[in-house]
Amino acid sequence: MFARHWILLIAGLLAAPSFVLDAASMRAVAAAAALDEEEVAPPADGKVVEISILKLRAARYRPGQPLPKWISDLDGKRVRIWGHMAIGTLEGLEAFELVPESCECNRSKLNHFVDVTLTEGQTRFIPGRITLEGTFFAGEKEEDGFVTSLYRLTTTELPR
Amino acid sequence: MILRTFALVSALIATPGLAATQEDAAGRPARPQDVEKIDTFIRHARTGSAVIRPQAAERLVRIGAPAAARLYELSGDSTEELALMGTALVEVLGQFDHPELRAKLWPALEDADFPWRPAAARSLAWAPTGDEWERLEGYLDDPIAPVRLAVLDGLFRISQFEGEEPEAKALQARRKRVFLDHAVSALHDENDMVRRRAAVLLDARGHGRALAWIVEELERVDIFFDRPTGLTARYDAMNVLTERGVDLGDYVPELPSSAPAGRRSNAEALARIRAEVATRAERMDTRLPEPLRGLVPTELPAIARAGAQVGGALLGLELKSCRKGEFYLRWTEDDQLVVGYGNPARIPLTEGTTARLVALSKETQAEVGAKVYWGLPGCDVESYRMPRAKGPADLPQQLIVSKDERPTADLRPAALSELGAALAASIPKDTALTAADVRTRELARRVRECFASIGGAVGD
Repeated sequence: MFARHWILLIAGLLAAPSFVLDAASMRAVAAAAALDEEEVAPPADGKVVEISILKLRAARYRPGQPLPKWISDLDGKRVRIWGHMAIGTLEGLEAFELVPESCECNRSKLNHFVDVTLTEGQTRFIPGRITLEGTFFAGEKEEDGFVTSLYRLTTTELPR
Repeated sequence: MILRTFALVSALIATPGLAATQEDAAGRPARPQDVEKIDTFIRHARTGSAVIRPQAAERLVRIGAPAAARLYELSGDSTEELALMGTALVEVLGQFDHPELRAKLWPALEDADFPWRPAAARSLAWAPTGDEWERLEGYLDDPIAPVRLAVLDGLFRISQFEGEEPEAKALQARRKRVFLDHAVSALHDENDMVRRRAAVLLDARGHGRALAWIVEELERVDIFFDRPTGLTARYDAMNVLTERGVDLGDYVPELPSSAPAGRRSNAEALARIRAEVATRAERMDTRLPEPLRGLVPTELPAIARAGAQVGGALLGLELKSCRKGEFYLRWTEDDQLVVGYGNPARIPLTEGTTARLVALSKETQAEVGAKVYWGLPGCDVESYRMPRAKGPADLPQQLIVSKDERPTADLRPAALSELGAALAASIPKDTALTAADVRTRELARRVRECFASIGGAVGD
């Protein structure tokens, strides 16, 4: 086991400088940061912003770090978003997860779902794609020391 | 422990593509009071919500040896007992410096019925030992795509080791070379995630030409009924290329690859990205030893090309099993069976097959009434799409059966079993029709096995 650590250490040290000093890697960091800072045109008063659940899923998220600006700019805005109800969503609840695909295979990553709260209606499982309109909130929400959601949406009820 | 951490961190710096997938575990260090919470974290990792389980498992990894000792006590003596720990814990067992705990992962991977094989494979691939090379190689053709992907990662890591003695140096030189062959083979994998990872690993080894596989995905337009599989791939490809230092400029995944004059499209951005990646690949190629140049083919195989959208799909069957793999099947109005997504394979069907199955699907809908879902949340899913018997024709009806890792009796209603049996029976067994493409080879048998592992056997 000890020898394996040394092998890893040496391999890493030999290869690391070429990457650390690689201009391409530096450009990658800059490009990724630029993507994160991409602007979303602010909506005119009362307008609804169309947001893509796939774009939210693709956003870079680091625990404890600020979300990309284009996402934090959406906080408190009225949005329209499509997605699927997480598979097996029970009936009669006031909240559910909206996901890009109905099955996330027990590996629910924080930036892969929107926590939806229904203010008037209750859940019933709808297979297939649904589109919701409501108020979007972004940022880490913690319970018992664990982050339970990054993206949240408050809407009245499910589509008919 | 410090040495192990430093070694892993330095190795990960050298492989940015891998570092990006594993950064979640590199959080803050464990606090002394966390040690007292080991059992609490284990409980959260086993029974918490899907989003909390991996976070609790990562806390255990940060605690280190005391957590590993406790997990070892709880891991039992069989794969059945190990399975009870749940996927989040199996996922991290290989991250502990605890050989006995690690040894429990191999029987899990070897057990075709272990419910968390992808997690076991990723766990093993996190910090593999040199003597695990051959065992990992044995899973390069595993039926489960995430297992194949994890195996590639594991082999990549082992091939990074440097030997000290001449014999060990020679062995590692051979492994470096063999790894490249495995990765080039994986560029032909039926699963887009595996192809993408192979391309990233080859690029990390100086074979920049492999990024052409990912650039191609920027043009994918495929959809599977209401699932924009192509758009999802475009976002994934965009992230991968950005991490590899490719400047995507004003490429926008939501825009088409080309459009009539005056309409916005990605045409110019794509042309520039292709040129940049080609120039970068040529530059990287010159730095490779002569025998390794041109290892990655210049032409993409059909399976990796961005295909056109499939028209006229009336029926769909999506099967996902953590033990038997995934299948995406469509029956079209002109009697073709379309297999997979991206650039799918096609098998001609006997004339009238789709119409007969559509008629049966309407009977199924009449039998099940308003109910659309059966089972429990979980990874094992059967999803049937069909024209609605009543209601808007452009909105397919979707019926879903799902379950967790436990066998569940009488899960699928009889009417849906009858439809499943008919769909399975319609898959041609004629090898002249099915042998040409990896996705269609022995498809009928594999689909039946997948059905059996989820909602139970269908038909004969």
